[in-house]
Amino acid sequence: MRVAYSWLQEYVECELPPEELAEELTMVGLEVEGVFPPVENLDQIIVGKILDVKPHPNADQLSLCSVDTGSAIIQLVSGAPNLKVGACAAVALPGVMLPGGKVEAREFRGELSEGMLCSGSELGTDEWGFGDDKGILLLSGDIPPGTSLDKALNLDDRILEFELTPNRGDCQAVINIAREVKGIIPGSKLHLPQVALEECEEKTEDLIRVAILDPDLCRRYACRVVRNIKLGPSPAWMQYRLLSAGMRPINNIVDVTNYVMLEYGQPLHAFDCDMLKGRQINVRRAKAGEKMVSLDGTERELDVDMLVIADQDEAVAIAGVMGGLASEVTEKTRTVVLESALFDPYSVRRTAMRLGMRTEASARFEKGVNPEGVIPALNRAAQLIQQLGAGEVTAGVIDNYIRPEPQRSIRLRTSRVNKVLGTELSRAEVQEILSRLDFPCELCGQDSILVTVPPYRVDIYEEVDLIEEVARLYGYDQIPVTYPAGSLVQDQKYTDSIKELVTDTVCSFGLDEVLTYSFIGESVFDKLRIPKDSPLRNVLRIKNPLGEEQGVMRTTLLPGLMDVLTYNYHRKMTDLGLFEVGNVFIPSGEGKIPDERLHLGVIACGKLDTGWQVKGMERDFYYIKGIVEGILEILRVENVQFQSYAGSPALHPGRSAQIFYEEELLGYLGELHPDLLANYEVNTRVVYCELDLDKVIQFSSRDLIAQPIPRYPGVVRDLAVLVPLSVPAARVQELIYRGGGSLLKEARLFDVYYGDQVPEGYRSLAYSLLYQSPERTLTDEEVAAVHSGILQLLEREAGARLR
Amino acid sequence: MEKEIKKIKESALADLKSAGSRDELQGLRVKYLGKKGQLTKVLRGMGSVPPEERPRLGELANQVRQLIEEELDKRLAVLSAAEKERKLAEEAIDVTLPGRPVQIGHKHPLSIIMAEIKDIFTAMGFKVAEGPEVEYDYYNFEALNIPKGHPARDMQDSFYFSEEVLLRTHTSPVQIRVMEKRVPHLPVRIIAPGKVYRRDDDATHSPMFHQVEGLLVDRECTLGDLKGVLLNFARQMFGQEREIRLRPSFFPFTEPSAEVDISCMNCSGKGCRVCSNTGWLEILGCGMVHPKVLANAGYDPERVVGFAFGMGVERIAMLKYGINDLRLFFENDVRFLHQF
Repeated sequence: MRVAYSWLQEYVECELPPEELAEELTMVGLEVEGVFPPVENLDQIIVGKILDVKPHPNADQLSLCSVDTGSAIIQLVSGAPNLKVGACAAVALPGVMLPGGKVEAREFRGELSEGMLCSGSELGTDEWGFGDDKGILLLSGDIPPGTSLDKALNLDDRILEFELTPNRGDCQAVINIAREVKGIIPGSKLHLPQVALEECEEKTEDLIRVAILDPDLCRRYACRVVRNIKLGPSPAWMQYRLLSAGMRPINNIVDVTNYVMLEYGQPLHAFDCDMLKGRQINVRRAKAGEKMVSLDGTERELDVDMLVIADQDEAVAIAGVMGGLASEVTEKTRTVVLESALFDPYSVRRTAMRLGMRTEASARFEKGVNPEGVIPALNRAAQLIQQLGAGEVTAGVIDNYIRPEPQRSIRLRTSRVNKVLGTELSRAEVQEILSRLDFPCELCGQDSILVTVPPYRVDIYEEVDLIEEVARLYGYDQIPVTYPAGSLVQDQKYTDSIKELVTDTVCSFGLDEVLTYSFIGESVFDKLRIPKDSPLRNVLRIKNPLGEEQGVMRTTLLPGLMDVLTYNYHRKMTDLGLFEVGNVFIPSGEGKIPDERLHLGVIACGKLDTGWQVKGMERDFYYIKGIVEGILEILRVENVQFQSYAGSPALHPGRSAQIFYEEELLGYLGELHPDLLANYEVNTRVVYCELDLDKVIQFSSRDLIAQPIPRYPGVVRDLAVLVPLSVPAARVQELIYRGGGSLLKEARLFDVYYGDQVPEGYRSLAYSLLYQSPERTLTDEEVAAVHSGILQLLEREAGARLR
Repeated sequence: MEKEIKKIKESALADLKSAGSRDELQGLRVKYLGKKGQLTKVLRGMGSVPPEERPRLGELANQVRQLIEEELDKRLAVLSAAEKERKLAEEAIDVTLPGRPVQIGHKHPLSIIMAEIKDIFTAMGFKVAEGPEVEYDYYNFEALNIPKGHPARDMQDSFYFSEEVLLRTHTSPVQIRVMEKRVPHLPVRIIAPGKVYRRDDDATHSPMFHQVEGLLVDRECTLGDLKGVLLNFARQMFGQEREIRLRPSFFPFTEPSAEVDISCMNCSGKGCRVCSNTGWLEILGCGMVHPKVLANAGYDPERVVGFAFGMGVERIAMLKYGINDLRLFFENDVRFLHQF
């Protein structure tokens, strides 16, 4: 909503400068987004009187003008065809900013121009009806040279641009903004338009009949008829106000309807009465398949939930949204029907959205218009048409008012005001605040005020709405700063969320956290080589996505992480360790919210930076496995198994594993398949792992019991064995622990060796074994016995040999 | 004899002075004090000295012996120290070579800010609560006093899965879920961080972003208390010299409602480009919980009062870190991430 400051001043006494008024209005809840002049920088343009015009000695197309600027007589070069000695023109002196750039003194073919004579389009005043692009802007009348152009054109005004909240539909009306201004300026008075009509003898009811056929969508329909229409442009003052509100002047009749809509907030429409077949107005739902060409020339397909205004045959307007082309007011129009009605807000909103046409009218109906403003607005429009000499108003109003608005009275308790706001206002103070808004108040009981809500305040229905009125006019800044009382103790203890714990842990391992969108494109599954029958393809589909690439909710973090890796890789950042902790969404049936599971995804490639002393190490399978093991240790999940896994086309068949806790699959890890990487044009090995954290945490042994530090020294013995390649390391480890029994505290693999001195088909595994007893110092003999027992077990069960 | 002893003393002291190594010192010890050393030799010749002279000369010889020993030790200490110095000097390294890199992971800036917000509010007694990202229309709108067809739904264009299921457009549904669980107990005192979604994608809007919701419901609680909590938050997050300003606004689920501005930290409220010359920066929305919302969750709005607030995490992060492009958060360029 845009309103010219000068327009507001007509209705309310206000001496505050526009910028201060804007600030005050913002602080009572009518946010003013901007305050700007109708045309920027016009105050820096001056009026100059052209004293002389001579041809330019070196250019046929140019002239030299001698111009009086009030303080000096200067030479200006111009090519305009309408230079006239004695005329007043718009002059921009050097340094002034115009929409096309900064004005500078410069020479044109050897003749200095100390500024510029401007056209309306160069100044931007053409849109306000001053000048054009054909010649310089000349001003009529005798204006003293040096006068600033904004004053000379009566454009020394400010436009306030409001960003209204949806509840304040009432303030889509200049008179209601004026009421707010009155509310914030103590002692100011309102001067609202006084409407007096002279009606001619012909009766309105003889000219038009109205029937509301669908009263659920239209509570009230009123109209007047204006005859002997003299179509023409509306007066300059009205055009200015329409333009300042962002509306284009059309003709006196249409302009009056728009003007009154801006003034009263009541949308109006003018029909050509002779184009209404049968002189009948039917307010009804559209028929199935019904079509209508709207004022903008577009054919609209209507549906049966849309309300239309129809003559006896067909729709002539879409109720509350836009009129029809067929009944438009034109040069030929002799008689006009003015409509002022109350349409159902939800219905108008839905229709406007369906048709994709949000209009000034629909914006007002959607937010609710004043039910008692229908007739005053209609009369105001008739009066203005009459005043402009554009037609004669016939006798009487047609007014079908099906469900009159009951008067609303609300009891407001002073104690409640103070309880909610934390103030100590007296009843008299509360009453004073409400009276500033002209809310009739009546005291009742010791504490309460019975408040009558004016009908234009369609946002006020209950006590708390009045408390808000009190709060905003009292001033939010006046409300004391206090702190909540009561115990700070919660019934549940605050436990670190698993999400934060995992994020901090993985960060501490040197990886960077990323955040990606929760929605993905379904085509990414092919790119990632996810099999057609994979459960990952069972996705939740967004009905109205922004695009196919964001069409479904993710079931895995891989697409987002792969995109981030690719993004960085292609920007030459090829050593990457990235992770995300976020939800994936598993559908749980139509109409139900899905199962949201917290996942961790880790993706990595390239080398670890180990500095100049140590050679860099690849981020390979074992790197990411170490990260998984680290996370599981921090989460205290023990006895997790990694099983070789060749079942996913997304993964390298020989370098991937599934992660199990007993029978439960916790996630997987591995190198991504080279064909997948080729789809992303990533030319390096990439490792990935994904864990279902909600599952992992189920197996966490959260209660930690500290173990005593061993009192007796342990004995360390190394064991290097040659093991057939077919035996996995996990099997060897398991056998060592089995053979070591209770005396073996720890077996740590410290070397894996192939090659020289190791027979074909074997590898050498070297372990460091720690033997220790909590009860005594072990003897060499005891240790030797267990140690050789382990070796024998390995020989027997795994075909191992001592190296 | 006395002369000879004195001569030994002089020559020993001179030798000691010029000795340059521990080995040389060892040689001098042998030369003067060893079994065949000069002083020993002299003492052996004591027999040829008249008996009455012996005690005096004996004492003199002993004094010299002691003196040489002391000087030897002193000299030895000096030389050892020098040698140690030399060894240490030889071990010097180029301390300007870089250290061995430790692997430092970086948390996403939005995670950092969310953690800070959580810390500030948990210290004020708020508990962290969570809710689903895919929500029922009831929790996202209906229960929050936003019925179907309400214009406020326009402000939050939503992604739908079906008529009744959508991506939450704000963290406010967590308010209802938490109150439903807690009713009739008091107080309710939670914050709810999380992802939210709106159908908007341009330079200043991301279809997914983050909010933190706050809710306090108790027998007594006022708009003044809300101001206190938010002032405390603003100062902890943006500096102790910050002021806040509440502007009346509208949210269907709070009344009275307000938008909260903080005094611009770039210009301290004087007006600059960051705050579009207003001196203020909008950081969150808040208000007193609407009685209908309390009732929807099962509380008696005549008996309890509440306040709620919600803030955009991206907005706070942008203000705090001087980030001016929203897209940076979701592009995940490591050159951006590594700054945090």
